[in-house]
Amino acid sequence: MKGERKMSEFVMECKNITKSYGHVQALKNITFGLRENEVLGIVGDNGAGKSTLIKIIRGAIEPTSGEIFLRGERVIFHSPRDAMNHGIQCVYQDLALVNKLSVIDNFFLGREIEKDVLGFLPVLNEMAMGEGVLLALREMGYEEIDIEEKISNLSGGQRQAVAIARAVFTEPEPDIVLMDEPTSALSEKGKQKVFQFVEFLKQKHSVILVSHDLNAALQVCDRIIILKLGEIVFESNVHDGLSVQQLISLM
Amino acid sequence: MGNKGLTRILKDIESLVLIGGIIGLVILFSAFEPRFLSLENFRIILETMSVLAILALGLNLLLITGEIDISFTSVLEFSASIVALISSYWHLNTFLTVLIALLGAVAVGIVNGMFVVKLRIPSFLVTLASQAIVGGIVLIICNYRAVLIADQAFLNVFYGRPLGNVATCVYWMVFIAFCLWFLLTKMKFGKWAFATGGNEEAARLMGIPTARVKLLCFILDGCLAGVAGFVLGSRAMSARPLMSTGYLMPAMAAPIMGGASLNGGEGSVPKTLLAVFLLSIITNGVSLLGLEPAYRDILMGTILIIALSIRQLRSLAIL
Repeated sequence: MKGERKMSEFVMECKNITKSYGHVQALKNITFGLRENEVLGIVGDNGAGKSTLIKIIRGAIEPTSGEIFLRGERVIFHSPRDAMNHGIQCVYQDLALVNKLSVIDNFFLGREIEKDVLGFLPVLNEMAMGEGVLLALREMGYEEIDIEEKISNLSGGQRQAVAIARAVFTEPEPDIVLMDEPTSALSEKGKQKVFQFVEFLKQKHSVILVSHDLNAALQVCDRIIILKLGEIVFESNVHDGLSVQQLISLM
Repeated sequence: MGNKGLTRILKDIESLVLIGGIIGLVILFSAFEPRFLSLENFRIILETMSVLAILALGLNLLLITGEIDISFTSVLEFSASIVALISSYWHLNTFLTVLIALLGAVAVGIVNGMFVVKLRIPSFLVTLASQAIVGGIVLIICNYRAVLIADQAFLNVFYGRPLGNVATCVYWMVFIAFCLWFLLTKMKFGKWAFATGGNEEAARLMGIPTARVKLLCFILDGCLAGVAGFVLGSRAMSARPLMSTGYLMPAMAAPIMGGASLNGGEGSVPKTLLAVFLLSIITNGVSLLGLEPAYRDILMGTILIIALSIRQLRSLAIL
C-alpha cells in the first residue's frame, strides 16, 4: 500500500511486527527504527527471534502482522528480490559465496551484466563486470585481490571483503545493509577487520548488525536492541556506562 | 603470458594428466601398430568417439549442478528405437521422426528432473529407476530384437558423408560441444549452473532459481542422450535393446576425468572432450592390436583411477 511519502527521521521503521508459527509466537509486536548512517545492533540469546526478524526485513519470510516503512513509505516484501530492489542488502553469516567460482563470478552472482551479440544473444559482459569489481574492491582497499581467483583461495578477510562489496556496490545502491553474525568464528584480528568494514559501511549506509558477540556489538554499534523470547526488552544508545554484564543480565 | 597464467596452467592438473595420457597412449599404440598413427585412423577415432562425447557432455552438465543421471543409456536406446519404429512402420518425414524421438528423450529428462527438484529424491536413485523403466519399455516396443532404421535421409543427417570423408556425427559432436561450452562460459545460465552445484543455498540467496536450473539441465541431458541415440542408430542403421552396452562407464568417467566433481560446481567441456578422446584412443588401440575388449575395460579403469588419484593428491596438497 503506497501512501504519500512522509518525512521520517528513520531510514527504516518496523511497527508491531509479529510472527507466529502455529501457536508459537516467534516475534511479538516488534517496533523500532533505524536512522541514517547508524549502526544498530540486535542482540539476544538463541531463540530470541533475531534470525526471524532479519528474515522478515530481508524479505525471506513475511510477518504475520505489522508493517515496515522505508523513509516513511510502507513496503511489503514478498521475496528477497523485493527487499533488494528497495535497497536492503544482506551479508550472510556464512557469506553465501560459491568457493569454486571466481571473485568476479561471485560478485555478480544473480545480477550478471549482459550485452547483446548479433542483436539477440545475451552474453556476459566480462569487461564491464571486471571493471565493476575492480572499482568496488579498490574503494574498500582490497585492490590486491585477483578478481579471477577462486574464492576458496582467498583469505578469510578477503572473502568477507568480497561478500560486503557484493552487498554494497550494487544497483540500486542499498540504504540498509544487514550483517548476520559477522564476527562468528573469527580471530581477534578478523573481528577488527569486520569493525573496519562496518565503519566503512556507515559512511554511506545504515547498518543492522545481528550478533551473539556482545563485546563486538558494544564496540561497533551506535545503538543496541536486546531481544528476548520474541520481544524487545531493552533499547539504548551505546555509551560508556553500558557493559557486557548489563546486557547479559537483560538477555 | 605472465606468471599468473603459467601458474594457472600448472595448477590445471586435469589437462596435464589428460594430455600426458594421450601422448603416452599414442606412443604406446603406434609403437606396436603403425596403422594407429594415420589420418584415416584419426578419422575413425573421431567418428567413434562422437556418441560417447555427446553422452559425456550431457552428463557433465548435470554433474556441474550437483546431480547425476544413469538413465542416459536407456534414453539413447529409447530415442533410437522410436526412430527405427517410425521409419519402419509409419514412414513419417525425417523432421517429424526426429522431433517425436527427441520429445520422447526430453520427456524422460523432464520426469527425472521433476522427481529430483520437486520431491527432492536423490538423482542417482531417480535415474536408477528410470533407467530400468525406460530400458524395459525399449525391450517391449522393439519386441526384444533389432529394428531397422529405414529412413535414408535420417541416416545421412546423422552418419552421412556429404563433405568429404568425415561423417556428419563428428560435426554434430563439435557443434554440440561448442554450444555447451558457450552456454557454460559465456552466458549467465552457465554461472547459475556452477553456482547451483557449488553452493545451492548461496545461489538461492542470490536470487538464482536453482530448481529451474536443475530441471533445464535434466532436459538438456535427456535431449543429448536422444541425439546420441540418433548417431549410434545411424551408425548401426538399426536400433536394438541394450545397444548402449559399454557406454555407461566411459560416459560417466569422462566428465570426472575432465574435472567434474560428484559434489557439483565443477566441470569443463574442453577437458571432458579430451577425456573422451583419451578413452576412445584406448578403444581404438585395443581393437587395432586385436586384443580382447576386456583389456579396454582394464585400461580405462586403470587410467580413471590414476587420474582421480592425481587430482586427489593435488587437492590434499601433497603434490
